[in-house]
Amino acid sequence: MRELLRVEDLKVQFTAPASLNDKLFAGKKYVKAVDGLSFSINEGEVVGLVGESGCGKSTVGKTLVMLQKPKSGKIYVDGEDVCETKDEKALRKKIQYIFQDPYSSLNPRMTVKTILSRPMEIFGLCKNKDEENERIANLLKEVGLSQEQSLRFPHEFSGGQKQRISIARALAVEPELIIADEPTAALDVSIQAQILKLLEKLRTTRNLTMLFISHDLGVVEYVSDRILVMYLGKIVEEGPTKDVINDPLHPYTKALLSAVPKNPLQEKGEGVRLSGSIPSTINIPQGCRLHPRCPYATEACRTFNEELIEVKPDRKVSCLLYKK
Amino acid sequence: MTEKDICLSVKNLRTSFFTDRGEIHAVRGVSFDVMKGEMLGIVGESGCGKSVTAFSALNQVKHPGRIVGGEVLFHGVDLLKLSQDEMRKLRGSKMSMIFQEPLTALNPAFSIGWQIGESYRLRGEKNKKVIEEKTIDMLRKVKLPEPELRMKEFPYQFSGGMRQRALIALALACTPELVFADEPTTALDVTVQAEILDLLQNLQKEMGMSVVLISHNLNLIGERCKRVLVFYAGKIIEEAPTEELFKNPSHPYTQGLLGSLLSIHQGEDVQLHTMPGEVPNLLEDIDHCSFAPRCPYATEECYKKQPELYNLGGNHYCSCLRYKREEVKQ
Amino acid sequence: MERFKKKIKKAWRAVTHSQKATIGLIMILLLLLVALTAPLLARYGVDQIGAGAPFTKPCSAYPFGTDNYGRDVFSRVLIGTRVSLRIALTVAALSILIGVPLGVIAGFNGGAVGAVIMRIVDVMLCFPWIMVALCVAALIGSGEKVIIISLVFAYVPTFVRLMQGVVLSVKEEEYIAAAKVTGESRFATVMKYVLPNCLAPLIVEATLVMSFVVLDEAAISYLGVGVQPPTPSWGVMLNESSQFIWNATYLSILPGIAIAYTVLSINLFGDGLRDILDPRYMGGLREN
Repeated sequence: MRELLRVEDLKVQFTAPASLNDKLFAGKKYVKAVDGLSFSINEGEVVGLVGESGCGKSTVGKTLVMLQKPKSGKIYVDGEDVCETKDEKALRKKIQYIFQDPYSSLNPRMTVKTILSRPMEIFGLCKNKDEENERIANLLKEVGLSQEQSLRFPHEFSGGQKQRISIARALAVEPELIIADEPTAALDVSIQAQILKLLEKLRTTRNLTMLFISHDLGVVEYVSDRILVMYLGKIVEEGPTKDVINDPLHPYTKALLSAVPKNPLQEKGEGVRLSGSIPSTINIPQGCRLHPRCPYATEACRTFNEELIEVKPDRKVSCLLYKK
Repeated sequence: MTEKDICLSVKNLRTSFFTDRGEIHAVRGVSFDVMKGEMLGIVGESGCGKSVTAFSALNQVKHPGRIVGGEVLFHGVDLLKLSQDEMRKLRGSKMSMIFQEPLTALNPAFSIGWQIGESYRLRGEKNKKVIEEKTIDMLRKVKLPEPELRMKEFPYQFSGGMRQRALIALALACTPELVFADEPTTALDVTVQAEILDLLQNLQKEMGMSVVLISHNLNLIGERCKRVLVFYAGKIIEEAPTEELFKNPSHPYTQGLLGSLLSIHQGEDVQLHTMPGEVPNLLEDIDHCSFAPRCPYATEECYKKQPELYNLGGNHYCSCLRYKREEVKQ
Repeated sequence: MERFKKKIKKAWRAVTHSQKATIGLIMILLLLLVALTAPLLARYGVDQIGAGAPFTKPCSAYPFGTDNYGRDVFSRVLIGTRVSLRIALTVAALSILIGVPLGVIAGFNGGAVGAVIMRIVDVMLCFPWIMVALCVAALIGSGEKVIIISLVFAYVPTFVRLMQGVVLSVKEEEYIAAAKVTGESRFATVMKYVLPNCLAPLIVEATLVMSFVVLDEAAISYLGVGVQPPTPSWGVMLNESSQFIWNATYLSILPGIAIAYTVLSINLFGDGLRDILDPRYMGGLREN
């Protein structure tokens, strides 16, 4: 199986806003949004990246499509280093992005047709106007919109329809990898289901490879083959979806799972509750970054180096409980 | 269930928004009772009128909205007939509301402690010491760490979860009998959400209040409430005890909603059912079943008459012509 | 052709939907009509001294009387429409041409270039434009040029600051990031994504500036370094008639009305345009 994306020890930092006094005497402070992340995605695979707000999951997505510069680390798309590429345009054709908020990710002053034709024009995908029109019509049909709607402006569509347009735009250049950043978070449940079904359908018809970023474990369980759980800029657990959901190893994954509201008819396992709130990414706790909130924390956790321990094949977790 | 146990009774409530484009029928005849000490769930998608119902019940609909009909009886008094002044007193002492977005619901210019203390001040407490003690007490109740220090801080210094705690403290400071919680955890992360809901549920039991919990998440409502109202296009389309609703969802919309919901641990294969189409345009005055255009069972009759809430037995009501029977919810 | 017709139709529907825009547009069209047909409407020449007796009170032959040289005020105001509108349009157009690109660069690029542009603009704002007008006049002599140069100097900073602010906020919108992801070049991003979304405040500001310019031109000409007599700009006419304000008040009335009318019509239209350019407002206009 071809490895389409490989991320090695990715770090992304922002300068934290500070007072002049702090700048002069305390030195610059950094928000470590992504703090040493490594993973890979194979062709045809859908990988879910889960975490709560502020854990850096969106930053990962933005860095992969070069909307954000990494501080260090390597990103290889199809074997080519993203940060040192000479042909940025060729890379952009390979990797596309679906934004979270369909209300602000479409240019309000472009018709749907223009929104979809721009990427095709940029990459010269169509020989003439007729071919372009045909492709647009096909794209719209594929995402469940009609061709008559192509001359309308984004504000004339509902949230779900806008997200369909957004998906069509990402597909317009026929990318090899799609990064979907919470594509259903802004939508109602019934509309969310429609969009997820659409992505599922596209996945089989187009053999899509996707990194699906979400805070919603239910959604990630539905769409992805493999899950990466992220906490404060680092992956704390990874493994095949079913394994992670049915047998979570890391205390954070356990807490996340038990916090999700469940169907009241289902039996409930014993819950893990974390104490306190998520610390700021400016002062990440030493050792295991979860230890101040973790019910299982011991003294040794304060000095844990946060390596990912391979418990089973394909199953890694960054927790001292599993270190032999 | 007698008259005595009823805390709030909403009868045939209708609220519309009068915009440039015409009248938006946001709530189109809603009737329900809130029992004393009950946690009632209202579930529905955006635009179904669930928040507007809450604001209407508090007689607090903002321009260009207006309550165009119905009654809201609180201990036998019709709130819609009260003056703004009387209503304000009632809102400050017997009823209150927890909002979705804690940052905008708190005043950024005053400290948290001051804002909570204000509710005691408004009720005539003059002694500063007593106000401070009561405020600290309230903050302790919502499990805010170090309330003595934290009360002097301002909303921006709080994290999302802490703001929501402060907002709950603010809403409960007047020891209300009835609280509307409008999507109180939607802006929060799941782990924080669970904590806040635990807190709200404990306080509700401890203080014996009635809480109306409004959410778009059916599972969340199912976990916390004993009774659920399902809203669609400004109407209640199904009402049932929670377990009954999850076991026998009767209205096609409720079935669809349950099918669209992604619960984790669903076993081997996750099934996702989708409903076609979208929520109807409430600019039109719909005089038939509003779900008919999306409904797989729709017949011609569905486009002819408005279904009522038919009694399916055991306090289970459903507004679908497939269950048409004599007994109708009053 | 069909599409063009449709566009005109759509624009017409939009304009007529807003009362302000409709009234403003009708007033502006009337004004332009007057400017175009002024030579036909004017019964007397602009500098025809002794068209009537000096200081003739308004009567049927001279609807707004004659001035101290016996020139017909009505004819002069009609012709003056051309001068005043020409100056207003030129100043607004030049300020936009210079100010908008600078503002967009400052806003979109930011960094050192942006900072330098903004500081230069700050310095420009420090000079009162009346003083600039006097300096320019001292250098190149009086005339329309002085008005245009000094007013462009005065209004370029307005557009730079406006655009910088608007671009800064538009730049953060997700569709700009989306444009980058789909491979748009920086230039295309600015032209197709940033600028169209800055249009509403820009047009409103432009109409405001145009109405200010009509007034400012009057002020500069009043100082005597602007439009030179006998060219009949409204400002010059007000200036001249002010000496006789007590004896022949009627001389100031028509130029005054003309200025007020123009300012009002442009402002009304600008306000209306702002509503129309709001996509949501147009959304309410769809038939289906």
